[in-house]
Amino acid sequence: MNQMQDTGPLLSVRNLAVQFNTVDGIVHAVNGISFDLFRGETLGVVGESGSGKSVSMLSLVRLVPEPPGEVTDGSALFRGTHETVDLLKLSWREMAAVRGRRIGFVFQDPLSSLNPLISVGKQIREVLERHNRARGKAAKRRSIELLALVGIPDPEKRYYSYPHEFSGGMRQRVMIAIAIACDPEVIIADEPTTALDVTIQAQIVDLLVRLKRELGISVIWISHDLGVVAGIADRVLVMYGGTAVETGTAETVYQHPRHPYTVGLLGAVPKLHEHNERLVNIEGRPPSVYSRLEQCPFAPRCPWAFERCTQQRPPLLPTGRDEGHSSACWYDLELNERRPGRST
Amino acid sequence: MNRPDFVSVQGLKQFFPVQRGLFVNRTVGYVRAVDGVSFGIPRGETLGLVGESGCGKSTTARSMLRLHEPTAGVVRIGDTDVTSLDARKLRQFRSQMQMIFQDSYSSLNPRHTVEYIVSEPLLIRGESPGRRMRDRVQDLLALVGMNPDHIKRYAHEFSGGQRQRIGIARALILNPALIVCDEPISALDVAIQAQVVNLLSRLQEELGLTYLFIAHDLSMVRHISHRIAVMYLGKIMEIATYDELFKTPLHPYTQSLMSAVPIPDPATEKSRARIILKGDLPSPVNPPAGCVFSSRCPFATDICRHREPEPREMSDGHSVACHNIDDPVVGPRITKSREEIVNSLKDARHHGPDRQFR
Repeated sequence: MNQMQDTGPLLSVRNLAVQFNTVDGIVHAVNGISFDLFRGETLGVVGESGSGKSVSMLSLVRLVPEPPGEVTDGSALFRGTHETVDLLKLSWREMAAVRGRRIGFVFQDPLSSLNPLISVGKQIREVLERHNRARGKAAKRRSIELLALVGIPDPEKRYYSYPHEFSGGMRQRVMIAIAIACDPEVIIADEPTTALDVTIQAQIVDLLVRLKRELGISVIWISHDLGVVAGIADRVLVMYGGTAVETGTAETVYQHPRHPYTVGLLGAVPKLHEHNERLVNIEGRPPSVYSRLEQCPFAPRCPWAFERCTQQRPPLLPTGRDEGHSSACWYDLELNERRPGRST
Repeated sequence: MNRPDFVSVQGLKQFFPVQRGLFVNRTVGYVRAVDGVSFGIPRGETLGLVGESGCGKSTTARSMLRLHEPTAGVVRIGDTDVTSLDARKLRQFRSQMQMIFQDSYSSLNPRHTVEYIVSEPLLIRGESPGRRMRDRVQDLLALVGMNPDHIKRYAHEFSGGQRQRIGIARALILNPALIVCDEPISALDVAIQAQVVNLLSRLQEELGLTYLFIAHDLSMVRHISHRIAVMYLGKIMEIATYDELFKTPLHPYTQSLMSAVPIPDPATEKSRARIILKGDLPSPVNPPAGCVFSSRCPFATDICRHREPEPREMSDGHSVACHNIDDPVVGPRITKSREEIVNSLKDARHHGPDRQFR
């Protein structure tokens, strides 16, 4: 791991901002987030709906429809095996060569992401042929191998099946086969198990963890389910109101959350192994997305908020607990005091 | 545990015909959505009904309230046999049993104001609209934590959590004894789920309501339920108090279901043993012979594939439908994996800072 880190992160995103220009006004979906993804690690991105977690990750590969979407700021350096590119500056043609080959995707709803009129085998083949990985018989053979690799029984026969002939869990396996077809360096998994039952979810999580280990892929796992992320993520990025509010290793963020939102969110999740009488109520609602964010997005709901929180947006500040753990809060929950510094 | 059951369901069955044919529909089989379900709920308690999608939890609730006509079985609520009521009596009795639905977008009429939506049950019962009815609606909105001044608004003006509160207010307005909550929180965000669950338990304490709480999320069910029933393919596999069920799950399906529920704690979650079930839920048109779980059960033996297990009472109020629990040969194997699970579910609290959210 350390040796890997010497070469720097595989993907480093700085100050990414995405907005949507709608008839009702400008929706500020992502307000300047920064994070790194290292080789072979899983980054869990958690947040409620509307927190900007999907938009921020999908905008990196321009899967956010433009217009109305628009990346207004930021950079995303992707250090590939050969050269380093800024994903946000690539042309459409260059981006098309990255998508599917170097960055794979798994989406929430496999039924709408797969083409119902084409057999799943052909859909896997399509990716291989599109990126010149294999053609003809070789492509078919490779597709069948991929189906077997993701645990689809009887892959030779299933190669000819159509998406509707598969169950939800099996369809998600097909999606994963497509995602890994060209040996990508990164997989972006956008709520891959949200539509599945828990026992099937366990199967899919198990599969992705195994593939990640065997193939050395880095994974960005977007989820609202803190439990799922706890099981797979090496590091966690907590998002709220289009900003990153806390980031660090999974152990640190879950055991020693230092942002009030993370604290509240963890308290709001019932734990299977303990019976707390009342769950934490985070009063109020997420902030409006129509106004530009000048203050801490969580300030109106935060029991610790003071004047500075409404005047100045806190950047991600190191908590000092361990390397890489930082929280965007003017209040130091560890010392139970306000962080030094003047409000402007 | 000795308290008498307020709601009692005996041998409830709900089959839906599968029809084929171009001009004349022939019945070629039945979807055995609910196949002989029995349980009881004492007054003021909550029974959690959990299972994967397609296992018949919602259908059980719907046939109980006679939103479907049950194929067989007896449902008693209080002293009334719901299954034998005629249409007129049933309509009167419906005020005693109300339902909260999963999807608040489709269960609230977008063309009606909140006032009309919440008061509609009263109007159906024949009460005339007026000041008193409006006061009652406003009281209820306040009770469920909404601004009583919002009665002239429409459903689309509210967030998902607030819409669910409107649904709760509508269910409460007739003063029901039983409320069936059909996945009321599944469509909501975590923080909002907590708000709605807290509201439901507060209302239960204040009004002495009896709940049947359906969910696929075991951890949320544990939070609100006194007793929990685990369903699989139209049958109840195990019923126990929440403590019993979580400390000593006996049925292999309960065990695997619980080991599949993610725990929001990386140390526990990454180290614990998982029982990962193979395959998918079988079709309820053609369920496996013998025990319905036998096709996916890691412990299935010959008898499981031939004879259906009867529910057996293992300890007070804890009943399980499984052949292999007392079995001298297979028994220890299950006990061992149960202990593994219990160990893996060990306490692992996160240490938050001292100030609390209220």
